[in-house]
Amino acid sequence: MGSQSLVELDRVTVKFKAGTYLSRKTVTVLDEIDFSVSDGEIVGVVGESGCGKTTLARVIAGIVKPAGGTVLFQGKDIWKLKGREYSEFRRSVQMIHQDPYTSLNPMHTIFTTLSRPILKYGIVDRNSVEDYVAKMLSRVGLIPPEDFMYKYPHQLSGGQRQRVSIARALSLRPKLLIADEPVSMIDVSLRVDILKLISELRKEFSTTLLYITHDLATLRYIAGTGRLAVMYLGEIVEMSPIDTILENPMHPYTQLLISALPEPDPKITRTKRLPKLRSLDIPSISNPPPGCRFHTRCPYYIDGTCNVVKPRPVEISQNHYVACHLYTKR
Amino acid sequence: MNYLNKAHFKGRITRSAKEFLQILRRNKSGTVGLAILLLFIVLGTVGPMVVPKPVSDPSKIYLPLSWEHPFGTDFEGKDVFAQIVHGTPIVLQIAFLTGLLTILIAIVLGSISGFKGGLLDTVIMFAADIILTIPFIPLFMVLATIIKFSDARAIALLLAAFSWPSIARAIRSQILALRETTFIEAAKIIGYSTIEIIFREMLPNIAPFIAVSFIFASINAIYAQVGLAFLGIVPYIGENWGIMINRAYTYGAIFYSKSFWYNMAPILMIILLQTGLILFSRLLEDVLNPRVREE
Amino acid sequence: MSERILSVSKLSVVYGARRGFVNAVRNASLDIYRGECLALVGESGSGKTTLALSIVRALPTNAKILQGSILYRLNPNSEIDIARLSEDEIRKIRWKEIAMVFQGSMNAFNPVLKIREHFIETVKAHGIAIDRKELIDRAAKLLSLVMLDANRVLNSYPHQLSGGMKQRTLIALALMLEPKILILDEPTSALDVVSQKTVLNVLSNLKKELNLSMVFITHDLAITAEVADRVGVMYAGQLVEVGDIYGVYYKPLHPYTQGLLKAIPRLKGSVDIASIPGSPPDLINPPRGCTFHPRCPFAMDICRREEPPETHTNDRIVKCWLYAKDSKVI
Repeated sequence: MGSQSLVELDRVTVKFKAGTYLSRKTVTVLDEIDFSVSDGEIVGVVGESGCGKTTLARVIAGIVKPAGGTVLFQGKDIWKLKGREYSEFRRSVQMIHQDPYTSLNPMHTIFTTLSRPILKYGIVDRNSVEDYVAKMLSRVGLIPPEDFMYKYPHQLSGGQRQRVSIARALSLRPKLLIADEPVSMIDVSLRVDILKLISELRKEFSTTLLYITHDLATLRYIAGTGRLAVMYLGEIVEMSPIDTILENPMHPYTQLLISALPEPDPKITRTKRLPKLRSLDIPSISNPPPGCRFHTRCPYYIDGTCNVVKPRPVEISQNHYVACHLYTKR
Repeated sequence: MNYLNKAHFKGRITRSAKEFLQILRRNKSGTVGLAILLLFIVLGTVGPMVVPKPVSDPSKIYLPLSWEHPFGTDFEGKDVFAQIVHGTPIVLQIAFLTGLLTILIAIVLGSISGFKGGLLDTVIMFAADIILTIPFIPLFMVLATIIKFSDARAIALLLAAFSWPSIARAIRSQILALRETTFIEAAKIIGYSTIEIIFREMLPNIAPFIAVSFIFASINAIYAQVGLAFLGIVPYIGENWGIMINRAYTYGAIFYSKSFWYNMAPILMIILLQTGLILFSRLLEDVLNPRVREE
Repeated sequence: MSERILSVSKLSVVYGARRGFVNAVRNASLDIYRGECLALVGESGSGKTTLALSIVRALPTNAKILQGSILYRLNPNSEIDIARLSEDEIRKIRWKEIAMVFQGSMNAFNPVLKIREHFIETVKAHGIAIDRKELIDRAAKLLSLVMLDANRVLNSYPHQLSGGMKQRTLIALALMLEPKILILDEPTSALDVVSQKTVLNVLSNLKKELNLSMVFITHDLAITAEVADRVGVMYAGQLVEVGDIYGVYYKPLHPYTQGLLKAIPRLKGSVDIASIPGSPPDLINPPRGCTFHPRCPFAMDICRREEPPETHTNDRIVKCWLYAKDSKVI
């Protein structure tokens, strides 16, 4: 709505080769995805394991090359960038990974891990970098910074390592921050702090945030009024502001997801019933069902349509897109 | 720069020195290895300056051990200990030079192979496989008829050419494993170039392996050169210990009881040096791995 | 009130580590009744898995039961102390009286054996003489209790079953020898939401059909809300609160329980969440007095000096000085 489009994916398809020498298969992990993120907004991507959300993050981060379609960052195709423009793109898109135990180089001190990227992009010069790193460490709650600067990752707890990751990503002042399940491997009582930190820093640095998770409740906390994309088996099935989806989920898979998610409230969660599914079997990503990928389980299955034609996203109300034949018959 | 200043850096250096001493204390076998190695280095650098060059003296053939002749004398009356001392520099030179060249070649080829993959990987690994099948002693014998081996460097280079394949393979598989790690993915997203990633992010993780490979490449080089010298393929380059064994064999020293020390001295030295190197490699592993340092 | 089948009393378990002894479980007391599902909830390091493993004496070799008893009601007039049994005697109890489904045990299937052979092998391994047909009948009955097509599953190989199906098969397998207690350690962590909900429904079903007692170990308060009758909250090796699920969730007594419930983001309602300040304690040198006092908003002087006693109210057991004066102090 008037905001500049920061990231735009146009019919992006990603294929991976899987299997052994004897049975090499090509798996289509993302199938003609259209996706965009506007400057300054928060977008969440939710889905179960294997739905392709992490691959989507990697495509946007520019480390997975699509087999088809284009990935635009600030209007330019990222795979055609060279020299200065490429360097600028790299600096502008940063990521926080899920596993704090493997996302930091075990052989580097925290200072090395943080200072090298800062020096690489000339954010500050050699004389000021130590101060800058100390400031970043304080900002992410690692106080006093001297206690952490020259330690190695294995000397820090998971939560502390995750804060280092956040510091590393944000010290480059990126335009887009991709957070891939940043708290799923952290204890429940400590998650809030990390979430609050990401939230505050995002506001402070005016960074656009793309938050990937399978936990809808966490997303609701951090996304506020942002948009949410629901993914299933490599496709985006529904996309809308998060409140709209929670109050009025349109896609049968979204409805299934919400009804199946346990909630920390016994009365509420025990009255939730699963919709009557056609099958409890989950198709494999290497052999997806034809047409709409959800049709094998969908309670609203229309024979002849859902198993033949792939539904394209349709805007059914303000900013609310659904890819489902129930709504394409217009 | 208030709380962070030069003092902090100095603190780091003294801390590292303290950590190093801690490692020495904990890793006793490694410290022994270090001591032996230092002994040989001193022997090889200072020794030849202090110990006179061995001269043949027919009146002193196969003398027993004494202070003047700690290892006795050989069939020509030359002092055995002096021969050892004057042979040490060349042994060490070839050993470490070969070790160094081997790992340099292995790092470059192994990393490119592992990181880039594709055609380059296939070609390099194919070359490695071919080299692994070539028996090096017969090859050296053939080469010896064409090339004059008078230079330690030439020998080192040639030995390195035979030793790099297995180490390169090992480095390649470690690089392959590292490539899939999250912190390498993070490095790519930060925007480091391929060279930066290989050398600053990946290699430090295999530094212990590289250091140990260096030691073992050196150990192999010692065996190789001694073996070649013993077989007479590599002509007389100074007083290489292998030459001593060769001469002992050729001049029938193995049939005399009096020449026992002439036979044993080089062998003992080789064993001692190799043991020292192996023990030292254990120390290197600890020093290079920050995780071990902490407790 | 159903009968009590297991009574853990003042149990303490330590692990030997390089730096010293890790107090994994300290002075824990817990009762389990027939036909109920008791959830052991806690974050990493809380001791919930250690406590559960102690019940079947499946602790690793560097662990030791320091003190306490685990009284199991073998039959109406005899109780045995599991903590004091020999290895041989324990073997008679495991699987026949108390069975366990571990985390990741989905990978424990033998890939070259059909599922029916797994059932046969398991029964044979415990030296039960049972006629083949009766065995398969029993297996089939259990498989349908866990909502699986018995015929199809029995004749399949493990790789032909999905994660959720494997997990349910494992549960059926664990019940073959008709144990009275089933211990489950994060049984749904690797499953998609629908499989998860199905497994949880199945467990509730089994509870009723077989009068089965269950000990359900998890860190997830939402899953607990879905399936537990009573919940035991663990912190740093101690059971800080045990009680009926509705009571604990809607009127948590212990400050840690209150903190935990406030720290979880929810799908509906207020987005206000708060973390518990501080960090988990060092289990080798736990704080004096009440272990939680450094992080407790209500810490009093006595909390810093003495470990609180167990206070029994009508539906709750709480270890907290806030309540020690009011009710019976045991």
